[in-house]
Formats: sequence, C-alpha cells, structure tokens
Amino acid sequence: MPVLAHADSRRIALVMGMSEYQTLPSLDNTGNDAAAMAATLKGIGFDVTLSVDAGVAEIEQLLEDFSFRSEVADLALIYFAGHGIEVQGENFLIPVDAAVNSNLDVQRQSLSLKRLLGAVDRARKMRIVILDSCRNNPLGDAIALNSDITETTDTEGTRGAGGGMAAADPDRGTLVAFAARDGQVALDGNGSNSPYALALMDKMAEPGLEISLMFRQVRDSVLQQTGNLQEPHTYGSLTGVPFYLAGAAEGQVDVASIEPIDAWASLRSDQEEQLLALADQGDTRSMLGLAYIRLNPNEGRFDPTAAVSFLQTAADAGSPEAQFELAKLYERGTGVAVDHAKALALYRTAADQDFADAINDLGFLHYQGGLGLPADPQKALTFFERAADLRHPQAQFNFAALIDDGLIADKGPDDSAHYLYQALRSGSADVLDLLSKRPTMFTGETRRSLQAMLKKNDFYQGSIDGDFGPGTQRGIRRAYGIED
Amino acid sequence: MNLLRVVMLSLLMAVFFLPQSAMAQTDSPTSENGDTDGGRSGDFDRERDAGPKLSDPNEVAPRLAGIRDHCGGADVYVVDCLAERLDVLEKSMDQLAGYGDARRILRETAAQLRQITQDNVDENRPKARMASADGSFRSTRPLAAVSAAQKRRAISQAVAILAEAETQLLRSADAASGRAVHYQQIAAALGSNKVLLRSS
Repeated sequence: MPVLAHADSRRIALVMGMSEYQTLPSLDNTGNDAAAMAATLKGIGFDVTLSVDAGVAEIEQLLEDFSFRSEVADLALIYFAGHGIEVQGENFLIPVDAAVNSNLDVQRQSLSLKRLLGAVDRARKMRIVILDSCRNNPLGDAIALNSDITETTDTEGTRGAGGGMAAADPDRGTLVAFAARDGQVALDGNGSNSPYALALMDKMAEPGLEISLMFRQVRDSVLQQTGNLQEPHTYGSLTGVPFYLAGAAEGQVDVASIEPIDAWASLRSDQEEQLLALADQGDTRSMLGLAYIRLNPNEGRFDPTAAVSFLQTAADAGSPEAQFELAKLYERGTGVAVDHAKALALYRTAADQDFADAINDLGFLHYQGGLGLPADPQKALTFFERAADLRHPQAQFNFAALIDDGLIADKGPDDSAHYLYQALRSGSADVLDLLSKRPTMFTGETRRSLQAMLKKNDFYQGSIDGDFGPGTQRGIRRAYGIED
Repeated sequence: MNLLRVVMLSLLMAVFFLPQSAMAQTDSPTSENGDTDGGRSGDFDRERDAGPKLSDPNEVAPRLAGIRDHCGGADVYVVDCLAERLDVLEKSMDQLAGYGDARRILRETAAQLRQITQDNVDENRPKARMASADGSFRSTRPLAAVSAAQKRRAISQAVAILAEAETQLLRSADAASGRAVHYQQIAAALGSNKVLLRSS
C-alpha cells in the first residue's frame, strides 16, 4: 500500500522543463522528462508544481511562491531539465525566452543555481535540487565570455557546456544532484526520456529506499545504461535524518514524521548492509545512521557501545552532527561513562563548524551553568544569537525570550517578534506550544509586534491588541503550517 | 525510555501552561464536602487506593500525560494537584521491578510540591477536590490552593522542583540501564519567567 498516495504539503516539488527555446536549439526530451517526473513525484505524494517552457519572469514568480511555501514543508525539491551553462564558476539554468549572447546576458536572463538553492533553503528537513541540464552547449563559441573563462567545446547530444556544471557548495542538509559529473556530458537517451530521468523516476518511486542510497542506485543505473560514459553526481551533505521519498515499504514503520532514531531503525536489513559498506568507505552519514539504529532501545540491534564507536569514527572524520550526538552521549552517560569535559569539548568542536544544534546547546549550558560552566547569561546570548541567525528554531525562541526580557541593549519587541515568527516558520513544535498555551510569557509589546507580523504575512486579520484570542491562535498555527 | 521526556513535557508543561483566564478553567473543583452528594462514589473509592496497579512500564508515560491533563487547568490548585497525582502514580508503580529509584524520586518530588503549597497556602480558599467531567479521575484527597498573590512564586518553585526531578530521573535511568533517554529539553530560565529550549 502506498503510504503517501495523497498530495502532502510537507513535501513540495517544483518541476521545470525547458523545451521550445526561442533563440537556442530546442530540446526534445526535456518537456517529457518534466511531465514524467511531475507524475512520478505526484504518485509518491508530493505536492507538485509543473512548469513547461516558462520564461524568466514566470520562473522568478514560481520560485518566489515556492520559497514561501517551502518554509512550512519538510522537504522541498526542484527539478530542472533544460539548457545549463557554467559562467565564472557558477551554474546557470536557461529559460526558454533567454537571448543569451554574452556572459552578462546569462547572468541577467538565467537562473543561477544559487537562486534555486535559495528557493528550497527554508524547507525544514531536506532540500534537493536536481539538474538534468546538459544536452548540448547552446552557446558554443558565440558567447562572449570574460577572458578568465575557459571556453568549452561544443558537444553534440548533451545538456550543457562540454565542461559540465561547476561543483556546488550548498548548505548542510541540502543536496544538489547533477546528471553528470564535472567534466562529463549528460546523454540525451534514445527514447523519449534521458537515462538520468529514467533512472531517477524508477528509484524515487521505490518505497522504503533511503534517499542517499537511492541516489547511489541512480548513479549505478545510469553508469550501466550509458556504458560508463555518464556518472551522475551529488554534492552537499544530507543531515543525519533519514528520508524515504516514496514513504515506507510494506510492513515498515512510516518514517515521515518520527524521530531519526526510530526512522533509521526501520531501515531494511539489506540497506543496512549498504550503509555498512559506505561507512567502511568513510561515509559519515552512514555511520550516523548505523549509530542511530544502535541507540534505539526498542530495537533488537540496540548496542550503545557500538553506537559510540560509529559516532567516534564519524566525529574524528569531522562530522559536526556526529560530534554533537556523541557529546549528548557523554553528557548523559549513554554507552560511555559520563564525561562532562569531553561532552563540552565535542559541543564546542561541532559549534566551531557552525553546527547550530551545538551552538544553541552551548548557549543553554552557559545560561544555566551546566557541564562545569559557570552561569553566564551574557556569554549565552552570543551563542543564542549566532544559532538564531543560522535559523535554528529553538535558538530563535531563546533569543526572542531574552530580548523580551530586555537583556539585549539594542533590540526590542520588534526584534523579539521577528525571531518568534521565524521560529514558528521553521517548524518548532515547542515554540508553537509555548506561544499557543503560554503567550503571556512575552510582554504586550512583543505580542503586538508578533500580531503585526502575522498580519503582514496574511496569517491574521484581527486587531493588534496583544490579546492572543482565537484569531491570533489561528494565525500562529497558520504561520507554523497548520490550516484549521 | 521516553519516561523522562514525558515527565518533562507533562509536568513542566502542566505548570507552564496555566490557562490565562484564572478562575474560568478550574474545572469546577468540588468542595471538600461534595463527596457525599454526588453519584460518583463508586469511582471515587476505586481511585482512592491509587487506582489500578501498573504492570507494564509502558503505562507510566500515558499516566504522566494524564496528570498533565488533569492538573493543567487547576489554576491555584495546580501545585497540590501535581503532588497528589504523583503520589498516586508512585503508589501504583509498586509492582514494577527496577523502578525503585524512579519511585523514590517521584515520592520526594510530591513531598516537595506539597511543601510549596503549604508555604504559600491561601487560608481563605476552601480545599477542593478535582474531578474530571467524565468521572474517570478524581483526586484522592482535598487539595489546597496557593494564594493568588503567591501563585507566580509557587509556580516558579514548582518548576525548579520538577526540573530537578527530571534531572534526577535521567541520571538514575542512564546510569542504571545505559538506555538512550532524552535529557532535559526545556528549563525555566534563571531569573526570568521564560523557558529556554535545547536543540531537539
């Protein structure tokens, strides 16, 4: 039984196909790929927006809408099939109405990969951009590139510049998937879809297939289909939260909304074998998954000591998430003896890598005085602010609370309300609970500012009176992503 | 394993989330003498001896969640309500093996909560029993109210007691069994009416 057969606003997708180019060579299969991809995603429960042959203005509007909706989605995915080009180390995707003759034209009339990443950026758990965007180089020698740009050779039957797309450097928790590796071209395929699109659609729809393993299998499939000519590649790092695009397999727990520790535990044993193999190759996310499985006391595989060992290896390899998880184990004495100094050192190592969970917890520990630290609210504030500005929901709440207490010299009710609003939008259930049930924790001024923000964003129509009645409560839930 | 997390979420939330409109939500505490005039005495007798004994540790979490529901609307009676419910829960756990430490902590917590009520008691307000509308729950003893003027202070003391209990429970569970548990996710901020959240 398909677990997610209905459209689910927690998983949203924007699918774009560019086929009938006005000034560039048209592409035959991109429209088919987009339509088929949209159908596949719908079939596994995504709320899909399909756009074929849109111009740059329309795309801009689509991206803006998608970006807003992604704030309350768990997963936001963009798929683009069309011409792509790399200019000065940056990737651009070209809409059908672009007339690109120069480097400047490309930057003005195309969509940068950065822009696409910005549109998925606020999704709560996972962000994916898939570019099936090399078929041939539409610009060839005609483009007037800056002298520091290496010319790429025209290659027939591919979706972009001969040099392929530039490597992306997305934020943590964001995955960029390219049809081909750097320096390779992507093949069009002989049928009506590209080999990459075919493999993706096939694997995406398989229930119970964890996402990192899914992209591995897509790669293997494309390599096989193309006689090793094309090797799809992914950039970026997924968080340790497992994700099953097509939902759970039969007999598996539905993992869409449960804790990572339970979600990993539902991994089928054949996939655990694959994780073990990947961990052996140094893949830290696989190590995390294996650790989570062993930390679940409801599982036959419960083995905290082994979990510590996986986490230690991943932490040593530099994974901030593993460092953070290991710190928690040392703080609590799970699988190891309690060691506050070690826990603190690990929190700090993770925080040094801008891992927001660790930064927020350091703020908490500094504020309350924990793990041997003296209570130092002023020091705590800098941590909360830093994590809040990394859009960490609990830190946003904490910082808002302390602004409201008047502890930050240059910030007032509007700033507090701003962070509260952001915390709601980033999906913290704790924040939703606290604001719903105990709003008077905040001053009247902050409450009025929050009402004004809700109103500005069309979540609330009532008066700005600081009274959190049913209308404001509904607005708070809507901002969080719950429609009554 | 979620015992501790639920302790935190249930009990801390019960005191944090006091309804804004004070008297309207006291769930009609019946007067101390009200026992005799209702038709619920059968239920009451069953509840009096701490309700059914728990035979499955997994029942602890729902019972804690029930405490939150029962006491969350108790306004000035909330602290004594928590004390009374924790006592009842503790007694109902006496057949669970390996929960000695947890029971001791619950017992001590209940005693401390009772003390908070005594220290802040409102002499002018009658003692009252809490009962749910459907009769599924009724307090086993009359509850004392804290004075409205002292309510905030009493609640902040209760929050501190519950946070400490949570910490103790975490330590006892972790050290004893090495199980993965959720540690303190939320705590009253020192010197503030706010709570602070840890990363989840």
